[in-house]
Amino acid sequence: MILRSVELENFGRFHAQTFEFRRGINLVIGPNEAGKSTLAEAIPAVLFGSTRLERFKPWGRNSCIAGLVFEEQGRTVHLKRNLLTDEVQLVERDDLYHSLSKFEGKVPLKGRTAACREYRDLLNGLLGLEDESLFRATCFFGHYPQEWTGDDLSRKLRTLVSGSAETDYAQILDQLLEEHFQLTRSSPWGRDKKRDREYENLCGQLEGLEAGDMTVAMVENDASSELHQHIDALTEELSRDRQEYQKGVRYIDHVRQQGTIEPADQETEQETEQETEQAGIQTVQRGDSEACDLRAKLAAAGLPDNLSCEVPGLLAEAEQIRQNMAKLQQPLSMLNQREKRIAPVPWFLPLGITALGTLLTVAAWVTPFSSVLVTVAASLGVAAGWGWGVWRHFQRQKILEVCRQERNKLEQKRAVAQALQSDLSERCEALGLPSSAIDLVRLQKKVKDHRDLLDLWWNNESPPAGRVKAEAVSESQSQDVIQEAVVATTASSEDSAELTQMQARLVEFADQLREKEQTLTDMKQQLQDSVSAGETSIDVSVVTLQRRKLELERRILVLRQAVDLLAAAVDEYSKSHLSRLNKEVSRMFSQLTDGRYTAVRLDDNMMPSIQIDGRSWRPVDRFSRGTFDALYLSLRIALAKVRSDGRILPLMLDDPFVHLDQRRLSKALNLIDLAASDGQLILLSHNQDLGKRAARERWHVVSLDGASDEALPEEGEDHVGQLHLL
Amino acid sequence: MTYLLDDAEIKALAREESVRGTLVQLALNQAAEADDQEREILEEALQLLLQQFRVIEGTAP
Repeated sequence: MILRSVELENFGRFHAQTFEFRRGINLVIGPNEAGKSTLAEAIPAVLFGSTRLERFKPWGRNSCIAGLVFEEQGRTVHLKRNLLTDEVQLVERDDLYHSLSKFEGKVPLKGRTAACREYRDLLNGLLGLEDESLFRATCFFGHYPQEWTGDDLSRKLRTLVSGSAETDYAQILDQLLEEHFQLTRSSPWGRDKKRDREYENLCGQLEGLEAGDMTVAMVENDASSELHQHIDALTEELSRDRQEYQKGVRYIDHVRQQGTIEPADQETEQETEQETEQAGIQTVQRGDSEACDLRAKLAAAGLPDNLSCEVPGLLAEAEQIRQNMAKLQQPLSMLNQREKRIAPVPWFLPLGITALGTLLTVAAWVTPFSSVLVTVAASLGVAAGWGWGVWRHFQRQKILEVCRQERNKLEQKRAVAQALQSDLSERCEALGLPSSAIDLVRLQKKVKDHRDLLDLWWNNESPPAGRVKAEAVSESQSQDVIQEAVVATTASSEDSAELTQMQARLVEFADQLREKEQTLTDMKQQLQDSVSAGETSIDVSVVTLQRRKLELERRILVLRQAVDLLAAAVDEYSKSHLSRLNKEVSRMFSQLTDGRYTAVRLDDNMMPSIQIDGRSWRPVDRFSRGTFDALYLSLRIALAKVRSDGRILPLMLDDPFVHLDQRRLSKALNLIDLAASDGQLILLSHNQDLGKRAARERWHVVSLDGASDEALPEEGEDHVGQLHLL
Repeated sequence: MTYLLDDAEIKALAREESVRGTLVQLALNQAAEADDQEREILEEALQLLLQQFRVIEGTAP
């Protein structure tokens, strides 16, 4: 894109003037104060705005307007700015005068409004430049050229060189880092963040759960505590009632033995029992053939043939209780360890301080030193020592109290589990099962392994099973038998009214007893269910948290890997392009210095250094002004050649050779001639020798000797510059 | 176990003269010396980055 014209209206010393330029080298020539620098400064002022309005605004005028026309194959960009109001108009049109893009708005130099952002984006899209510093560092070269210093500028320069929009990659990096620091406070790239994030919070929760604190807190709630009290009360009541019932049964037996029951009745009862037994035996004989095989298989599996069908449920219950007990062991042992870790108060320290203080005080009183001062100091020391000791003691007591409370809670929970276990042991014994945990585990394994066989055995309604069931009846079932016996006795001893009444009361009492037993069983089951549910929910939450922890750890690793990978890629890519720029600028600088310096190097911050004697590198600011200017001129020309977006922008050189000697001036002119071969270069100078060269080289010349270059010939006419000079 | 780094498209990307190409090339170099677990993390990180690139380029689905 080349600069086709600059239109100035009440701008500096120009009232209404248009300067036109062409591809290749344009020489703006004129004496001092002719307005060369004003013309040069008009370009960045229009593009980006200016804060130096006093320089451009003529005295007594109410407007200060400048416009630029850029041209590229197939399109033209018109830019106009009112320097007083910073109102900007930008129109991009194609060859057919169709508007491609348009902007109108207020854009001050350092504006941050949405309109400013829109304008800069548009400018960046058109010229590849969005701010003044980058323009001055790449397209503008004045008496004191802008150095390539500053993080922001070096980043933009690297972006120009590499073609990678580092801002975009910085945006990706920012997003990755933001996600990373939402997950964890830990940073492998620098100092950790202060506040804990999700990962740290999760670890804390897990530690708490594993220490059992939450288990105790969740399980030992008010409801279970109340239930526990009801169970205790009912158990005691049942125990008393059972004793009463046994007394009643024994009393009735005693009365019957006293002869209140007729012999004939006894015979009848015996006959009934014999008939029942006979019927059982007959049933046994019928099922014997089928049961024989099953019994043999059970024996081979190591299972007794008198196992009740309630055994699996009982074993599952035993397993659950065993697991509960085991889970309680861990927090208890941790609590023990925690208690052990609480160090006792080192009372010897305050004692030692006291002894020392006493000695010092005594020594002070017997020596000519300031005894009062020493006594006061010693007293303060002793008081501080004892204060510290007492504070430590209270701290220790506080921690011990917390531990004690936790232990009480755990003990209560263990008591519940033990009560359930003792109840289970009773039920096991009633069914003829072993009560020890190891035997129960073995039995459970066998039952699990041979469950099909046992189901078959229990489903087979053979007499042995029926008989086994009858033998293994629970206490309540025994009471049923007793009740039946009492009923039978009642039927056979209707003549004894007193006995009848007693038996009726006993039956009624047995009914009540059964109801209470059922209630107790239900309550125990309810308690166990609530404990199991609580523990299950904790187990579930622990598993969920652990799973989340693993997920977080993996995601953090991935994010770190992504950040490192992207940073390394951007760095490597920039370096590879930087080396191209280094080569190009070295070549140009060597040419400009006539081979005196052959190598230039730009570091990561785009700071140039020059190699001397083929060995050491020296920063450019340690060289003369002429060398400094020569280098920065080389850098601008080299950058224009290697910039990756391929854009060709006009290079403004405002008296660039004032610090160059004649030899370097000649070389520099050759260099800019070369640089302008496929671009545009606008050279502003007062040097009349350049005018002669312009005539020789057929540059386009704009004279500022008080009049504009009116009636410029068309581009392509070779004699134009020469004629103008003539 | 994913095989993103063995994908032909990825190997084509590695030849691209861009930050993305350099990125993929770096990932391939690191993967050559990584164990299975490191390789999985690397592939996941590369997938994440390529997705971000697509978002920037406006080609993300």
